[in-house]
Amino acid sequence: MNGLMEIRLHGRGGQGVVSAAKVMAEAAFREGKNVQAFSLHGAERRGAPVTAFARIGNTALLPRCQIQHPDFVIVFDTLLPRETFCAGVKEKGVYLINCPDAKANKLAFPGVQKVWFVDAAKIAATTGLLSTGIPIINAIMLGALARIGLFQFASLKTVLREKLPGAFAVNLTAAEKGYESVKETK
Amino acid sequence: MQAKILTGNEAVAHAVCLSRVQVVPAYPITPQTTVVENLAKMKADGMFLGEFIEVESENTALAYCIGAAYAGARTFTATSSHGLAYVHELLHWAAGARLSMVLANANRALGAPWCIESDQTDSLAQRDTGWVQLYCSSVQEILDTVLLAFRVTAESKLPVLVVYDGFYLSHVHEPVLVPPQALVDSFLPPLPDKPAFKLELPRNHYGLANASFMARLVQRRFGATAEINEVYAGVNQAYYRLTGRNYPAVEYWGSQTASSLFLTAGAMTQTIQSFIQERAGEEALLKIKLFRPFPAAALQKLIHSKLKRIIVVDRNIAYGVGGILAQEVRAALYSAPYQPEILELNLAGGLDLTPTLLEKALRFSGNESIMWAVNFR
Repeated sequence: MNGLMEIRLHGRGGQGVVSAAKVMAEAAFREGKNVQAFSLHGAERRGAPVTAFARIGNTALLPRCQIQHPDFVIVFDTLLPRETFCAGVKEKGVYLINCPDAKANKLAFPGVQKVWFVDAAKIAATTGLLSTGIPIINAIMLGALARIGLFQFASLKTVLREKLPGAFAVNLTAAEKGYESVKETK
Repeated sequence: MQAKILTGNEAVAHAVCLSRVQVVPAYPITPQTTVVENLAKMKADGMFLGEFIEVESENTALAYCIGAAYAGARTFTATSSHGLAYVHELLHWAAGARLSMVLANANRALGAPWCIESDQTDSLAQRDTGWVQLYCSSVQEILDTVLLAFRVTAESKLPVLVVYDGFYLSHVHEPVLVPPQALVDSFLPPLPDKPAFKLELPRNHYGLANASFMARLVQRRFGATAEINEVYAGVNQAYYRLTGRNYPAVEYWGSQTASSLFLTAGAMTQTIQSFIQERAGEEALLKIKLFRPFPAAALQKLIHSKLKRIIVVDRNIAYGVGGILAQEVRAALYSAPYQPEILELNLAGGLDLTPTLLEKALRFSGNESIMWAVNFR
């Protein structure tokens, strides 16, 4: 698809899902890509399911519809209904999941090529990575994505520094933890 | 000039700042809220130098714009959906009084029930108020269109509504080139140095008219609205020379020998373009930029003899008739030399236009005049 990467993010209000989509787009944009990030609104409440979308491409023209057939799915919360985050994923789709161990999950994703996982909730809790009292899961997930190769870690660092000057240090640490801890399910 | 990532609503706020707007009355409504939030922040940061007035309703916001415009000030506000419906009466007044102002509307469905999805009926239903209506298909186009709108309204003395799809454009983050202040200053007319009237010398504006006086005014306004086609073309040309970005009133995109043509306005144009490009298809697209006045003559010229079918994609509805764009297109083509079949794909309610739906519309062979997208998902 002309090198177009379509990414869908699933999480809950308060986990920074929408911000993650935006930061991801910003990071890829620094690498010369055309980008787009948006989300589905209507339930902007803490804890309510949130879906966000990002497109990273090489062409000037990106479609504006919601992503039905993602190349990449990012799951912030595995307790969300599985059918929502599994819907329409491409045959060679890749997942990144916030969970302690993705082996059990992998069984549930037949045909999917790769499942990456990172225990973001645990990392945030044990290392005290909090911003205004909330675990910084999104920066951990973004760090993991840099490792998987959606964009370079240096680009992520630049964006975090520019966009979150007040909370840069803690977010950078979180991103580094994500980068170091992410694993592919064998 | 370096691109940066902005949302549609942020782009509007930037364009208002760059246009050196003098009066912004503001009232929030989803999905427009971040326009006025950004302007409030820009005011606090010293970046926006005009008056920022928090008012208690959309009706008051437009009433402030009307007062400011009477005094000759450059004025702007933003709204959506119920907010736009609420100011319907004042839309007529602003256009009737030939006042220059720009209003941005982020499309949202009209209740009941409460729904914030991106349906275009809110703005299209204001088509008979005398406002110029310009639709946008990208964040860049939103920023540029606000600038175009300020020059169009200054030259024509008709108010301009800048329209973009809620969420799909109001909340999308994407790269945008923000023109330098000097470029915008050279593009827009200078601001008045003093108010158009003095408070010490009160005057009665627009008193009571009888039918024959009113009829002459109506005819004059009708003529002024028709001239917008020319005014807009000139303004767009001037902006194109400065920036290289071109937004014709109606634009043909794709194969010149296409037998099927999609037609729409707003964010959905880019999904259709991408769909055609992806399948290297033989289809084409007509993008409606200027909806009021409807560019019927320009549209007729773009309809060629190879065209068999026009699929009008409407995310709006006129109850009892069909999609609003479809009605306009039928009326515009009534006297055209070629009369392709017209099929309506309707997404009213705020449905997402997907490639799957576009494929189904191309293959559609039913007898119904309207393909309801909700039945084809």
